[in-house]
Amino acid sequence: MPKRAPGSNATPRRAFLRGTAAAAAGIAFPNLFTRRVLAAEGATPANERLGLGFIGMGKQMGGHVGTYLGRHNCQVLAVCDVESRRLDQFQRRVNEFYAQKTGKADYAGCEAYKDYRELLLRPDIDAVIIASPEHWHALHVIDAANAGKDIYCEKPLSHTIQEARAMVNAVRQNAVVFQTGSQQRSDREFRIACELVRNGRIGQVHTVHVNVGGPPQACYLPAQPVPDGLDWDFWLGPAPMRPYNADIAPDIDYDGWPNWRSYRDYAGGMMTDWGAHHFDIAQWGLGMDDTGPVEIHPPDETYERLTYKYANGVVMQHGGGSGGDAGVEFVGELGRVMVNRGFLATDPEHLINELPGPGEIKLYDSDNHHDDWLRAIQTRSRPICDVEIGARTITVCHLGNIAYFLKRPLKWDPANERFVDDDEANRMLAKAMRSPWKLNV
Amino acid sequence: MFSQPGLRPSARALSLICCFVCGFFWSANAQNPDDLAKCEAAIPMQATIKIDTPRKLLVFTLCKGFVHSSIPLGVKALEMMGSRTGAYTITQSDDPAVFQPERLAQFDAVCMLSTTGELFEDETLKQSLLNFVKSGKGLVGIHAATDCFYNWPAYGEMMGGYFDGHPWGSGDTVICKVDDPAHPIAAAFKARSFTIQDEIYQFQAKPYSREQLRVLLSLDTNLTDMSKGGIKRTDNDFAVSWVQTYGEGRVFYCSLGHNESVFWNPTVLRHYLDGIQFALGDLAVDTTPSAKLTPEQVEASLLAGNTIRVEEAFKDLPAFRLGDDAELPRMIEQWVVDGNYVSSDRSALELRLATALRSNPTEDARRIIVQHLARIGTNASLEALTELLVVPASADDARVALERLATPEARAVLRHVASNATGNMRIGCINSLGNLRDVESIPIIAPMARAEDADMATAAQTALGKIGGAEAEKALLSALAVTPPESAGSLLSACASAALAREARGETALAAAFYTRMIELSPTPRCRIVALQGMARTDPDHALVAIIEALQTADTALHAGAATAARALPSTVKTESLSAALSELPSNAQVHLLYALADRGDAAALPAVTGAVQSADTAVSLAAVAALGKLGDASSVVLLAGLAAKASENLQVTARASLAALRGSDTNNAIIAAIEPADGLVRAELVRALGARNARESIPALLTFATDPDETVRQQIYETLATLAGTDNLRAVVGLLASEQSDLARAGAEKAVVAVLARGGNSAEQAQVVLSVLPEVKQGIAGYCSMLRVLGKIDDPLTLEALVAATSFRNTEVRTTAARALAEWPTIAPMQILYDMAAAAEEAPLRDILLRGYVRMIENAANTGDRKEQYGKAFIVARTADERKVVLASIGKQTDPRLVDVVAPYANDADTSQEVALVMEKLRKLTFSLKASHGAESLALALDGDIATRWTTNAPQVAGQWLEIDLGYVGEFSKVVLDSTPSPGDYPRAYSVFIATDTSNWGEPVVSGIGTAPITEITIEPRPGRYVRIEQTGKDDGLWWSIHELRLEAK
Repeated sequence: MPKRAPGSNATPRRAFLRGTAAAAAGIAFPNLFTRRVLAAEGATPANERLGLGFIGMGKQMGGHVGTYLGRHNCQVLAVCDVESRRLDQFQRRVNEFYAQKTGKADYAGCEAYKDYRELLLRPDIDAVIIASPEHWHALHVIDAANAGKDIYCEKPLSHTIQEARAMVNAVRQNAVVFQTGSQQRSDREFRIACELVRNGRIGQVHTVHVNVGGPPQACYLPAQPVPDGLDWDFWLGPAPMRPYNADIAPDIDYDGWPNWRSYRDYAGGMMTDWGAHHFDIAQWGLGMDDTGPVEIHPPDETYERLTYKYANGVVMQHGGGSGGDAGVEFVGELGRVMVNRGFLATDPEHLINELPGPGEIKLYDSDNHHDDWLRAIQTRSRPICDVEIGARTITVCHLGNIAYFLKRPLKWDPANERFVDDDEANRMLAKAMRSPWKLNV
Repeated sequence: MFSQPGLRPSARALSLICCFVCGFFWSANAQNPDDLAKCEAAIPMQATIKIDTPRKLLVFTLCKGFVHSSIPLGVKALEMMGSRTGAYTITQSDDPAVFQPERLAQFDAVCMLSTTGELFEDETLKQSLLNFVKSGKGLVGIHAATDCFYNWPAYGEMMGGYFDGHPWGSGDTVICKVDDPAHPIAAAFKARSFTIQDEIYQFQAKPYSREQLRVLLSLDTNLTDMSKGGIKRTDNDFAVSWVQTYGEGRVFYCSLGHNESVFWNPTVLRHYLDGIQFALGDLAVDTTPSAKLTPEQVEASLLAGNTIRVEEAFKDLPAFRLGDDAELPRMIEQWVVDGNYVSSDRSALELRLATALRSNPTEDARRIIVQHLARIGTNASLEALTELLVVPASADDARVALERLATPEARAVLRHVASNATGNMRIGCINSLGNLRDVESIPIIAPMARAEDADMATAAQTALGKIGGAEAEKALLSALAVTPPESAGSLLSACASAALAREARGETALAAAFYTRMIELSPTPRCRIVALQGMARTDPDHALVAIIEALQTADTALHAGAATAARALPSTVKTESLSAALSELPSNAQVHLLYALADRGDAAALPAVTGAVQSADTAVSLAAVAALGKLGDASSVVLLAGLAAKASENLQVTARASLAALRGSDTNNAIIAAIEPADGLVRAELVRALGARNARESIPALLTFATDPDETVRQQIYETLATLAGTDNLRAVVGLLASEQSDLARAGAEKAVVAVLARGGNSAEQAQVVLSVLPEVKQGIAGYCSMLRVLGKIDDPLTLEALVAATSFRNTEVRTTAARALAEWPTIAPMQILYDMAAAAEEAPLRDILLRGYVRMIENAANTGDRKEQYGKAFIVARTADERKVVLASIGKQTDPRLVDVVAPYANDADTSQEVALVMEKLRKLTFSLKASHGAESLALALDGDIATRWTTNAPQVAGQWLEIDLGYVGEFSKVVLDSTPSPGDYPRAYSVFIATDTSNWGEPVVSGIGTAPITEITIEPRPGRYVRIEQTGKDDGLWWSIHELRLEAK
C-alpha cells in the first residue's frame, strides 16, 4: 500500500478545453454535425490531449483501449491490473501503438500499475476508465472521484444499493464527470423505442417485460493453485476471503466471459450483468430515471415471475412478453414496442415511423457513448448515463436480487432509498468489506 | 437388450470373448492400483449390525450383454467391505451352475453385480433362485442387475424393475434426493441430497412400481437437466434404490455403479453395506411399499428425516472443505435464508452454527459459519465471534460479522478492539464503526484523524465523515488544517459527507458554516471545489461570490469545479449576476461559465451569452454559440445562421447544431422570415435548419424560394424538401426538378423527388404526375435523363412504356439512361424487353447495361422461368469477354447445379477461362442439403461419401422422427436410398415419404413402407418437387435410426 492516500492533483488540470480542435457542441440536442468535427480534427498537441488511465484489464477493456487509442484528442498514459500478464500485454499494446503512430520505436509512455491508487496519484491523468469486477467498482470510482478524475465506469454500476448512492455522492462532491457504461442509450433503436413510448404512441403503458437471466449464487468451488503473477488477495479486495479458482478469475488465455459474474460475493448474476442494460432502457422509456419501483414481488402463488410495481401503476416483469428477440418490451393500451440491439419492432407496425414532432419529447441524442463522455468532460455537463441514472438502474436490479434472495414481497421507498418497515431487507442494502477496504466517502 | 445401439456387433463380440475368458479376466489383477487404494480408503470401518453367525454372499458377475468395466473393482469393493467389517465373506462366480439348489443353499444372499442379458435358460436354475429368495434368503442387485433376464418376468418382479435406458450418462452429474430420509438403509446419506456423477437408470413402466417397492433414493428432477433425450416416463419418477420383500425373502437394489468412482464413494459403499446386511437378514427394516404408507407414517418419516438432516448436517459442517459435495453448505444456506424471518428457528440455527464454530472447523467451514452468523447472528454469538478476533486466520471475518451484528454489545467489542489493536485490525474496526455510524466511538477515532500513519488517518477521517455531528466535524476540520492537499482527497470527501448529512436533516445553516470553514482552513483548489458544491445548495448568496472569485483565478480546474457548482445555484438573480461577471473573466473560465449557463437553461443569460459570441477567443465564442442552442430563441436566428454560413469550421458546425435546437414556438417562423433578406450562404443555412427542425410548415415558403438564383440555396432547399416534403407535394417537387437548369443542383432535386416517391402513394398516380411534367423539362438532355431516372423508380406500366420508348431516342445519353432505369427496375416486368434490346444493341456500353439488367432479373426470386435456358440466351447475347463475365458472375450466385451445363461450353475460351473454372467448381460443389429432427450435428456424415461415418438420431426409433432433403432447385425425384450397412439394425422400421415444392405444404405421403434390411431403397413415382421428407412411423425401443450414406436420384 502506498504511504500516501490518493489525493487531488497538485497541478491544475491542463487546458483540455482550450484546444481549437476540441469540438464543443456538447449540448443535449440533435447534434447532427458534431461527429464530423471530432473526426476532422488534425493532430491534437500532446499537452492538450486528455490523459487517460485504465483500471481492470479484462475482456471488456480490450475494446475500450482500442477505442481511446483511436481518439487523437486522448492519450493512454497508464494501465492497471492485479494480474501481471494482462498488465504486461496491455502496456505493450499501447506502447507499440504509439511507437508506430509517432515513429518513435522506443516509445514507453504507458505506465503499468498493480495498485490503482498509485495510478490515481498521477497529475497528468485527467480521466479513468474502469472495467474491474463489480465488487470493486465502488472503491475504484470513489477513490478516482476523490482524486478529481473524470470517470467512465462499466455497468453494472455497483455491487450494492448503498454503494450506488455513495458513488453518486462522491461524483457530485468532487464535481467530476461520470459516464456509466450502459451504452445502449447511445444506440439509435433504443432511443427511438423510448421516444415512441414517452410520446404516447402505444397509449398508456401498463406493462414492461425485461428479458435477462437470473440472480447470482453462492460459490462453493474447490481451491486451486493461484497462477503466478496474480495477486489473489488484491483481486478479492473487499470480498470475503476464499481460495482461488479459475472459474472465478480465469487467466488471460481464456477467451470467454469470466464467471465471477455468477457469484454473489462479486456480482449480481445476469440480473445485473444484462439487467444493467435492459432495466436501464425500461426505466428510460418509463421516465423513471429519478425514482424507482415501490413494490417488488418474487415468484410465488400469485406472481408467476418476479414483478416490480411503480407508484403510477406500471408493472415491470422479469421475463414474459410476446417472446421473440426483445430485450425490453413495452406494452400499452394501443400497442407494443419491442427493442434489442439491432432490433426494433412495433405493433402496430406503422408506429415505428412516427418520430417525435414539434413540441414532443426528444430524448438525449448521443450517437456514440464514448464521444458523449468526452464532450461532457469538456463542457462539465452530465453525459447521457450520468452516475445518478446508473445508480437508479442498478438499484432496480439489486431490488430484484434481494427479492429473489429473501423470497418474499418487498416495499421500497425510492425517495429515501430504503425498504419500508423492513429491517431485514434494509440490512441487505450494504455489504461489509474485508480489511482494510472501505468506501472513502 | 443392448444399451449401445449401432455398436451391437462389436459389443456382442466383446461379450462373447468375455464369457470365455471371464474367469481368467477376474483373477488377473487388471485393476488400477490407484483405484484400489481409493476404494480401500472409502470402505466403512464397521457395519451397522455386528453379527454372530458368519454370512456368505454370492457375487454373480456373468454378462451376456454389455460388460461394465467397473465390475472387477466392484467385486474387490464388496470383498473388502465384507472382510473389513466382518459382515460377510464373498464367493464370486460367473457359472450359472452355482445356482443349482445344493450349491446355492450355502449362501445367505445373492448379489447380481451388473449382470446383463439372458444369463441362463435352464428353468431349474431359475426356479432355484426364486425359491432361494422366497424361502427367506436375500437378493442384492447392483446397477445393470435390472438389465438382464428380460425374458423371465418373475426375475423382474423379484428384482423390482427392468432397465429402460439411461437418459443421464456416465459423464453426467446429477443430484439425487433421499425419498425416505429416516429409513435405516438410507442412513448413509444423512437425509440430504447428494451430487453424483454416474448413469441414472430409467425403469420400464412394468413391473417397477411404488406399490411394490419401498423407494429409498431417486433423482431430483427439479435440479437435474430434464431436456435429455430418451426420457419416456412422464411421472418424473426415476428411482435409484429400493427394498422389498419377496415371499419370505429380502431384496435390495441400487442402480448406481457404472463408473468406477462409485466404488470409492464412501457414502454409496455404506449404503450398499446396509442393503447387503438387510438382504442377509441381519438388519431388520420396514419394507412397506412407498405408495402404501399411511399419511401418518409419511409425516413421521419426514419429521424424523428433518431431525436427522439437521443433526447430521451440523455434525458434518465443521469438516467441510471446498470441493466436497456442495449440497451440504447449500442446504445450510437455505435454512439460514429461509429461517431468517422466523425468529424461533433462527435462534436454534444460530446456536448450532456457534457450536459448529467451536468444533474445530476447517478454514473453509469456519468462513461459511461466520458468514452465516453475520447474516442471522445475535448477541448469543457474541462470545464465539469475539474469541475469533485473536485468531489471525479468522479475525477479520469475525470483525465483519460483528459489524453486521451491530448490537450495542457488538459495537462495544469493536470499540474495544479499535482502541487496543494495531495495523489492519485497528483499521478494520474503525471502518466498521464508521459504517455503523457509531457516535460513541468518536472519542476513540477523533484523535486518530491526525495520525502519522496515513492509512490510519484516512480510516479515521472517513469514519468520522460517516458518523457526523459536531465532534466529528471538529476533528475533521482539525485534520484538514494540517493535511497536505495532495493527500486530502478522501478527507475532503469525509467532510462533504458530514455536511451532506446535516443537509439531509434540514440543518442547512450548520452545513453552510461547515463548508465555509473548510475553505478557510484549506483554501486549495480541490477543497474549494468540493466546498463550493455544497455551498451552492446551502448558502447560495455566499456561494455566488465564492464561485465568481474562483472563476477569476487562473486555475483551470477551479474554473471547472466552480462552474459545476454554478449550475446548482437557484434562481434567476444568480443567473444575472453570473452573466454580468462573464465578460471580465479569464477565457477558460468564460468557457466553463458559458456551458454552465446553458445547462441552467435560464434565458436571463441570453444577452450575455449572445455578447460572448463576439469574443476574440475562439473557445469562448464556440462555447457561446453552443450555449445559444439551449438558451436562444427566435432572436438568435440571424446571428446563428450567419455563423453557420461563414464562420470557421468548428463554429459552423456548432452554430448549425444550435440553430437546429433553438426553442420557442415562433422560431420556425423567424427562420422562414429571415430567408428573404438574407444572402445566399445564409439562406442555405436557414433552409438547412428547417430540415433539421422537421419544420413541415415551411414547405410552402421553400417551394417559393426554390427558384433562388443561387445554386447553393436551391441545393439546400432540395435537401430539406427531401426530408420534409410529403406525397401531396409531389407535383411541385417534380416541377422543380423539371425546371432546374444547373446539373449540380439537379442531382439534389432528383433526390428530393425520389424521397417523396418513397414516402408512398399510388404508383399510377405518381406515374401520371411525373409524365405530365415531362414535357416541361428545360435544359434538354440532362434534365430529361433526370426525369427518366425518376420514372425508373415508379413501378407502373405507363412509366415502363415511357422508358422503353426512350431507349430508341437518337441521343445516346437518353438511351443509356433509359436502359439503365429498365435494368434497375424493381420487378421483372421488363425482363423480355431487356433481352430483346440487348440482343439488338450494337453499341457495347448500351448492351452491357441491358445485359446486366437481364441477368439481374434472372436472379430475381420472382423469376420462375427456366434459368438454364435464360442464361443460355444471355451467353448468346454477350459478344465480348467482359459481357460473358457479367453472365458468369450472375451464375456464380445461383444454387442450381444443373447450370454447369450452360457454362461448360465456354470452358475453353481463353479470355474467360478463369471465371468459368471458378463458377463450374462452385456449381459442382453444390449438393442437396439436409435437416432432421435429431442429430443435426451429424447430418453432414450422411453425405460425406464415407460409409463408416453416419448420421444418427442418438435416440431409440420412435414415430415422429424425420429427415428432410432440400434439392436446391425444383427437380424430379425418383429414388431415395438409405444405407446403414455398418449399423445393420438401424434402418427405419417404418416410414412415410413426402415431396413438396415448399415446406409449408407437404400434403399426403407419396409412398409409405417398412424397413427390413440395412439398405432401404425407396422408389418414388417421378414427380416434381424441391423437398423430400422422410418420416419415421415405426419404433424400436433399443436401436437408433442411422444413415451411413444417403443417395438420391433426381432429375
